[in-house]
Amino acid sequence: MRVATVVMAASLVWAIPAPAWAVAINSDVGLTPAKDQWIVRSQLRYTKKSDDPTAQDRELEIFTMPQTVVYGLTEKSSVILTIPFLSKELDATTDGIRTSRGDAGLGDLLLLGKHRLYTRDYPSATSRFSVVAGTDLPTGQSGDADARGKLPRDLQLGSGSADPLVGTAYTWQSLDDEWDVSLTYQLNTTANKFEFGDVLTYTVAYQRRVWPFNLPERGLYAQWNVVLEANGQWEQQAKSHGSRVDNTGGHLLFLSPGFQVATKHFVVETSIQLPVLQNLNGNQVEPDFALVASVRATF
Amino acid sequence: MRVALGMLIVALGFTSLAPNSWAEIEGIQLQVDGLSCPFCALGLDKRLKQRAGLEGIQVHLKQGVTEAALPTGLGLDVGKVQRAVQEAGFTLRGIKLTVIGKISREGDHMTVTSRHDGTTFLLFDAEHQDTEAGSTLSQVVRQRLEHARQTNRLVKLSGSVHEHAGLPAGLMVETLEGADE
Repeated sequence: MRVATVVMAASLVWAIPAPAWAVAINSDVGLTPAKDQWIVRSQLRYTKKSDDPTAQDRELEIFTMPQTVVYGLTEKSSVILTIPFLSKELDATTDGIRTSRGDAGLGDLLLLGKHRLYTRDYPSATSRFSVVAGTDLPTGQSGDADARGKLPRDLQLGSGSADPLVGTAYTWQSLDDEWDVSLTYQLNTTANKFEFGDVLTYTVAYQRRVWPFNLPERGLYAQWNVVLEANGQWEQQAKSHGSRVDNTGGHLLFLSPGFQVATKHFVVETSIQLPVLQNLNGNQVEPDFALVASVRATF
Repeated sequence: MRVALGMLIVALGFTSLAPNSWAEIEGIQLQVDGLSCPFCALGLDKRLKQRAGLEGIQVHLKQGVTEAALPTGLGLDVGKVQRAVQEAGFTLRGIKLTVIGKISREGDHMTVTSRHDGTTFLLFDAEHQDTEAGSTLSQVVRQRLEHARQTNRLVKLSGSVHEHAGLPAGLMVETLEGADE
């Protein structure tokens, strides 16, 4: 029921029309509007984790629907708000009995400011560098419980703490191809004597136009791009009551091929994230893959 | 009634002989750098309409050129166009346009005043170094424009536009029609 409720709430957001800018599929910090321009991205992400080194044979499924709204304050500065709807479900075998626990609802909002420090424009190409800073806000529940008691930290919808974030984003874009490189660092703080580890994320994305093969001399055209991203995440170990928590933290790297259709008014894109490096501490369940689909629009 | 009809026919006849047979075109071409994807265009379209009052925006992505038109009675404000492109997040490399108007002289400068909206442009050409001191036009171009001024005829000029602080915008003459008829 809770999963169905989340999906219904999210589908209402899908009905809002919006415009878009072609940047990395698995990053939000590259989105850059003009002055007084709005960009909205509605995304659906499914993550499956099932490679469990323990006898519990744990399987974790996470549906995330982050809705991102970007507004151009000036031609160089913008604000980015991401509103995530989440559904988490963990199946595990304990004492021979297969059980399921989960939660669904609003996660922690992410509020960022972005400022473009460097621009170099060429005929039909551009090179840009920006910095971002902001915080996530503890709007997601961090103390939910079910019939068996309080849910584990990893099944909670929120961290319970406001966690500042800084980052950079660079884009080189031409009519033929595009490079996006972004780096963010989130400093997680303590809530109820628990502190998730700090997180460093990095993305290197390349996209190449495959259609139209020859550009028309005049006018605009819809553009099809193939995309390949490397999405990495390094997470520090968590702390509980000041002591490091085993089975937390580590380094993940995904290769993410994708496809994108870009027009004057919207972008539709999809990607699959495949883990190529999994170096997790302790007995954590490792990710199998993640599927991403999103629509961006501007107005 | 027959006299009025006759006068109308005569008026139409004079109209068809003059360079007024040119279509009322004052096309504006903006050379915009940084336009590198299809929906880069929407932000530029919006700013050009809202900030500079332009209409009929057509973006040609491969050429890096955006065509636009001025509504009837609205003059071209080069500064507003520059600002609109800047607010869209791009770089304006140049403005080219076509002006139909009459030639005047203001001191040492030749000017053209658009019959569309009365906007005046100071006239230059790329070879003005081959002139008498203080002139911004070559001998040949100056003579043609002077002839058009003296005969009070309409001319059609095309070229690049640039802003002058406190002065009318400058038009670098690239083509000139109608001055010698």
